[in-house]
Amino acid sequence: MILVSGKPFDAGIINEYAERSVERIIFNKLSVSSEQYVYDTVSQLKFEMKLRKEIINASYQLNRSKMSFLVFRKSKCNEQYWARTDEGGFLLRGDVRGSDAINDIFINGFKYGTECATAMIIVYYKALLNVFPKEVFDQLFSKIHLMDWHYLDRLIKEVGYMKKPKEYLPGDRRYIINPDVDPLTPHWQGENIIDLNGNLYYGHGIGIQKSETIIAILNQKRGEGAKRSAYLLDTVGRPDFNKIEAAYNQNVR
Amino acid sequence: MNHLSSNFLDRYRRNKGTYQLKAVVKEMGEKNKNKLVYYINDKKLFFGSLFILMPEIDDLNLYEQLNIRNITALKICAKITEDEKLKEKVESLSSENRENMFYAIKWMVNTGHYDDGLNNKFDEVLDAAVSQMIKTYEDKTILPAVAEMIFKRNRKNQFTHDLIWAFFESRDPYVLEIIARYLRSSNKKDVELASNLLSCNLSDEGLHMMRPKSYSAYLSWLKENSPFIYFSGESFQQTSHPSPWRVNLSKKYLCQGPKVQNKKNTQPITAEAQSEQLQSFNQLNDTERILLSEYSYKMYKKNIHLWEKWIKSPVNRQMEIAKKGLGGIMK
Repeated sequence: MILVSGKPFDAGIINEYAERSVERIIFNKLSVSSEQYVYDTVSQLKFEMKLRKEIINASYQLNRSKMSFLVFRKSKCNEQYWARTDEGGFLLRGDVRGSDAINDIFINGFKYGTECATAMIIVYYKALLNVFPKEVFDQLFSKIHLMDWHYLDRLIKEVGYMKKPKEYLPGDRRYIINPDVDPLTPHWQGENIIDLNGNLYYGHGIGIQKSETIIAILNQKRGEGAKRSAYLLDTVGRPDFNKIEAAYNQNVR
Repeated sequence: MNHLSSNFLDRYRRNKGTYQLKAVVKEMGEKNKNKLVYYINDKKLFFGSLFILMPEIDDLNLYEQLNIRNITALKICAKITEDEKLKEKVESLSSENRENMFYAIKWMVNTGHYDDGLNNKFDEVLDAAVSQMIKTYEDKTILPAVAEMIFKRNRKNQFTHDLIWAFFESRDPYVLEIIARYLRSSNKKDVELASNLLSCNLSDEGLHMMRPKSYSAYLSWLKENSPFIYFSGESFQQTSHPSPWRVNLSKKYLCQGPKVQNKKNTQPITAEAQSEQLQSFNQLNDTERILLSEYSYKMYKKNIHLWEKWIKSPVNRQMEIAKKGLGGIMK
């Protein structure tokens, strides 16, 4: 059930979205849920739908980008926009715009290589760039440090936390853990994935697959004598949509 | 290289540097190959020196004269660094068995950690050796050395990701005690990292993070909760605030677990009653569950007879009493 300003939400707005759109799927899930989803304004609700849709779009875009899967020790980036750190992360250069640097990953993906967690952060930044005007994005994100869940900007820091949700929704970040991974390939200890539609997931290095396929791939990366299968955790990572919407209102509307 | 190895090659490297070591090895290889092989096969040699001398070993084609430890170490290096040429040269030499592997990897870690930071490839091999030692051989003796490497690298903003993961994969709460020692460090970065690594998420919602305030406070917390902690498998690949170790609040609430001191003459509640109580307990919010579990265990330790009465009362009544705190039933 969706509550806006304390009242049950008039579902008429759903008609604004196409029949099989991401927004409709999310609306329907929230509407029929026994749990209450509380929003202060309709704008908050619509912003969450929009950002979730852009997270999914950015996942498809990154999957097409030709960015390779490389472990942190061997990570690479286009040094015209980023400085590679000793840890293997990418730090936005002081003389370039964040929007141009994020876009470059999608344009010159072959110049980049990193692990799955950093790829998730790239997805979030690209989604935000698809929502915010370029100038506002550059103003809000003048310092970007891409390195798994470390160094997250305060506006998106919540994506680094995993919580048990009431429902699983498209645009959620999930995690498949591989407890018996081969100790020589620790980067296959798990896979961060974006829920694209409840059936397909995007994970960097694995592509767009069903969760069963990703689990089967991770199981091939287990060590000798492994007994436990990889499995999908019941937690999700989400941005604080309302906080980002407030920043949007403050800077755009 | 800080540690004082007594091997000639290690000493030479320490006193004259890598460049001079390579020069003297080249000269020795031409004049007295057997003596050089003796030094390289010496049990006191450090892995760092073997790693540095890999090009000279290749130039002088010493592979067949190397002992099992060195051949095994080179095989591991070839595998980790994906050096196909080296792999080809060492693959057929000496048989690889679990025991040989164990001793070679242990040697690589125990002597190699003194040279941590030598170069990216060396550190990569070292990380893999640590990971093998902990995950495959379940060796706990290297854990203090691994912690030292983690904190040393962190001070220099170097790559710690895989080492931290391997360290926690030991799945031994002993790691918490090792990290806690760094809360006393005079280095601010040590304290920050230790505090982060020891933070424990007490709730599923992720809203109740226990962050250690001091070494002594943390040890008290650990002592209180050690019967109920379990390994969660969380890592920095998964979340920005991993809690590799968590507290099982249900067990703490019921004062159950192999490490909970059994009180004599207790009349434990039946399995059926336990299940009912747990059902009600699990419907509470995180704050209430934390409060109730803490109160329960404190009472259990202080007055078992009162606890037996309390644990059988309805959960909402338990909560009322717990909220009154120590001023209530525990007087």
